[in-house]
Amino acid sequence: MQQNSNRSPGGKIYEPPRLTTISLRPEEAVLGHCKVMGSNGPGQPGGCSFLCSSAGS
Amino acid sequence: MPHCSDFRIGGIQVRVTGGNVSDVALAPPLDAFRVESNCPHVPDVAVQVHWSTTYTPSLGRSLFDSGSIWRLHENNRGLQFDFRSTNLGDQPYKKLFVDKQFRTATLQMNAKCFAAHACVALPLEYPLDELLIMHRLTQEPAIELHGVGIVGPNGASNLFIGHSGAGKSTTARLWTSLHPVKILSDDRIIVRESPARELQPGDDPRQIFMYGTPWHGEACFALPERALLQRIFILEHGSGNVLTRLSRSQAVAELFARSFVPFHRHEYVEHALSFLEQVADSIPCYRYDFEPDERAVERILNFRD
Repeated sequence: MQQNSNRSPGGKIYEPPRLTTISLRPEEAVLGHCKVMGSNGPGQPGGCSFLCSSAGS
Repeated sequence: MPHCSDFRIGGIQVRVTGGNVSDVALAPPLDAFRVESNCPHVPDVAVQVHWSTTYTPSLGRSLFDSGSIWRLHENNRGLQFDFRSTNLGDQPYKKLFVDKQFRTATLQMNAKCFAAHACVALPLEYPLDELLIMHRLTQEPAIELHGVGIVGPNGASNLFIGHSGAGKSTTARLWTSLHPVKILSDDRIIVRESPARELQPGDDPRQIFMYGTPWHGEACFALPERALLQRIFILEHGSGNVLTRLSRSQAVAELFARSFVPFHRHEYVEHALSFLEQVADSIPCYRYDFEPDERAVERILNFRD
């Protein structure tokens, strides 16, 4: 009788490793920019305070 | 007489001290995270603000360049974050010097930059506050994730994580429009074991909580509260509101891809992966291919593991 080569001695079916690609978003992860679109830190024209706001994703 | 303000985010208590009231001002929404300064607890992080009119070049090895606002240097005394804005000239408008355990920091404000532009200076302005907490979390059983934390209406507390555009703020708005829920944040959530100061007698110290943060999303939800974490969902736009249980390795990979971790030291990345393994072992994680309408909410409310 032919043995199933995919079955381990413990009876668990062998699953070969699989490679899964996960996308990173470094531009989001490093907090390099203000969260408001187009804002690039304090000192914006038209006023200065609260401009590097934390709003937005 | 120095002025001081304390705030606590994700169980990390920060005390800011300065010579002027404005040095320790906490702008909204950070102000909502203020705690009593005269409490008996020693802060986890102490920041001293002072002003300088002399420019000192950054010394030490360059560790990281964010590509825009901040750069990081290392020397034998610790780390130095330089913050620049094209709107405030070529020099750093502020520098943060901090030890490698992120316990003691000096924030040097560049008086010339702000005087020349007649700007209101907010020493703790984003992204400094978030960078400080994100780095300090490397010393704790904790991590910051890109997600929306929702508590209720049946007491269940779920964390929906996703990249920008995945539907976090949409999810927050949907749930609040349909049910009496608390949204801890619609963009940034800190996941961690309870810090010792917040443990109650009989509490299991390995339990995992989610904490709200001030760094909200478009829907502007930011609460200084925490909840015991029960499930995690990876948000993806799809059809049919399909839930797929993730394996341990899938969960760690998907969570890591939506985390805020300092990448400039391998120890920090290893710490993050190790803690995410603990999270994946403790909390069921699912991929959620959802459609942004009320059926997506009801699907979760009626879901059983």
